[in-house]
Amino acid sequence: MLVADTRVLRSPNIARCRAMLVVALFLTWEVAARLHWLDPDFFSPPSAVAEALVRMLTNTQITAAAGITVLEVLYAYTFAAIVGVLGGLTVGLSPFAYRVFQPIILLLFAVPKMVMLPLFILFFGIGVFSKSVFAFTLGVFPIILNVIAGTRMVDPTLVTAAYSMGANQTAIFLKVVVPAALPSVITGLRLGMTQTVLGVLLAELYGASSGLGYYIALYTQSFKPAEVFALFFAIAALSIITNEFLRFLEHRAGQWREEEAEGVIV
Amino acid sequence: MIEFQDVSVVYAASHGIAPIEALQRISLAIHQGEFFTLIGPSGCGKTTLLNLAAGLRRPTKGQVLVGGNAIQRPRPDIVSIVFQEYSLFPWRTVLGNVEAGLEFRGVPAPQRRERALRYLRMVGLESFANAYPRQLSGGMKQRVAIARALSLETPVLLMDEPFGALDEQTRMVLGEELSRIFARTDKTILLVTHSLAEAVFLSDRIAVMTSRPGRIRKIIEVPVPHPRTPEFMTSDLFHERRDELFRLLHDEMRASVLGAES
Repeated sequence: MLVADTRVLRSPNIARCRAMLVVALFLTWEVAARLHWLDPDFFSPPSAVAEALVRMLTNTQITAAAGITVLEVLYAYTFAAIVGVLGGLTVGLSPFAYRVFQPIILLLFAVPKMVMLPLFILFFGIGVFSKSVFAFTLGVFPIILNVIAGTRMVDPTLVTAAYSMGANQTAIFLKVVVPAALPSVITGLRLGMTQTVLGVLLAELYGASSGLGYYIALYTQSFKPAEVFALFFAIAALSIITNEFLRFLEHRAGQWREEEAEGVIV
Repeated sequence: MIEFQDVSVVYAASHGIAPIEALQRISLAIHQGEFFTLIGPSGCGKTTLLNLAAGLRRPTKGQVLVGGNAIQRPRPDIVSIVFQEYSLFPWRTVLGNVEAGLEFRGVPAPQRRERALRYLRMVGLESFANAYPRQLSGGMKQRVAIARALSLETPVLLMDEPFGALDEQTRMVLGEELSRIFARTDKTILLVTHSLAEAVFLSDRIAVMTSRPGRIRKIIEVPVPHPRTPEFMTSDLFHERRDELFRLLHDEMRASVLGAES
């Protein structure tokens, strides 16, 4: 009881400290930029960044670029999720497939995909397709590896118990393997999303004719720091929202795994 | 009700280990309505014998009949099992876990719920229907597993060291409950245990097995009606049977642990 009480009392303080820290950081930045302690070619005050953000939201070129970036992420992520989940289930559930594919997957995972980016652009051009393919090669690995780990971690005694109660292969898959592996699958999907977004932006920074990454590169080269920071904050906000949403799903699906989350009723 | 006919099990050689003869020519008949216990030193094959009746393993030689049916695979219509590890689905509630067996058997949802609740009530856990396994103590988890096995309403119940992971007091209480449930139903129960007191307290007959390769060394009878009460544990008969079991097992355990052939 005592522990729970102090925790309840302490949490608003922690939230307040965090908020104050962030506000202080932005204030320092604002003051430093206005007093030209920071080079105005490289840094704009947060107020200018906010103005740039508002300008961009009404700029059709930028909103179109954002649309392209989102589209690339969707293409790459959909493909990565399908290949990752189906591939992961196949490799995780078949000992034969596991022994054949797991070392290959791990080796491919270890290769820095970045070095392939110029080749992808050579093969597939500088449009949406090459960005999506490159982002897929980054996004698919966390998904497939987590799905494999999740399916292999299924407690064999639960499979035996289900089998002894008359479950056939389909029922064992749907009612034992899937729920047991689900938290790992969602973890994979969340990490895969982060990697996919990273892949799209990297590819756009490197060589593109549109997309948010392209505009970040463009504004940087033309010394418009307010615009660069505005794009940065917009992308950061979107990524954080997506990640938190998937983390929420992950928590929901994995509640039964968190032994210490609630006290034991005896 | 359960018949082992000249059953042998040999585990195939693997990774440089020679083939292991786990069970050697066992013939045993367990009667309908009987509480029968297998006891023996570690590795004597008592769990293997139980798994044969469960249809989770096939004998190398001989055959196993349950209710007159040759057992090749699990028969959830005639045999239900309580495992040593509680083997509850951690993502399902207590009620969901008891319903699981009925779900696999294809019982319609409304009947499932009603039957699951009835057996949860029997093990005294009705008020925990919506709790999750991680919120329960070991003893409560095993009562859920027992309710799940009972809900299948099979004539035969197999129990593989069901109280092995529990403390002495919890075992005693659950043992009494089991004797009470056994008296109320007309089940045939086959129990595997390490505990001498548990074996004597619960069983109508106890088979003492030899160290590997497992054979039946002797069968001891405990002619006391169910439900049995704690007073039975202080009776002369209880101590006499327990001492006899101890003497028989002690030789076998020495042989098993020290590796000497008896």
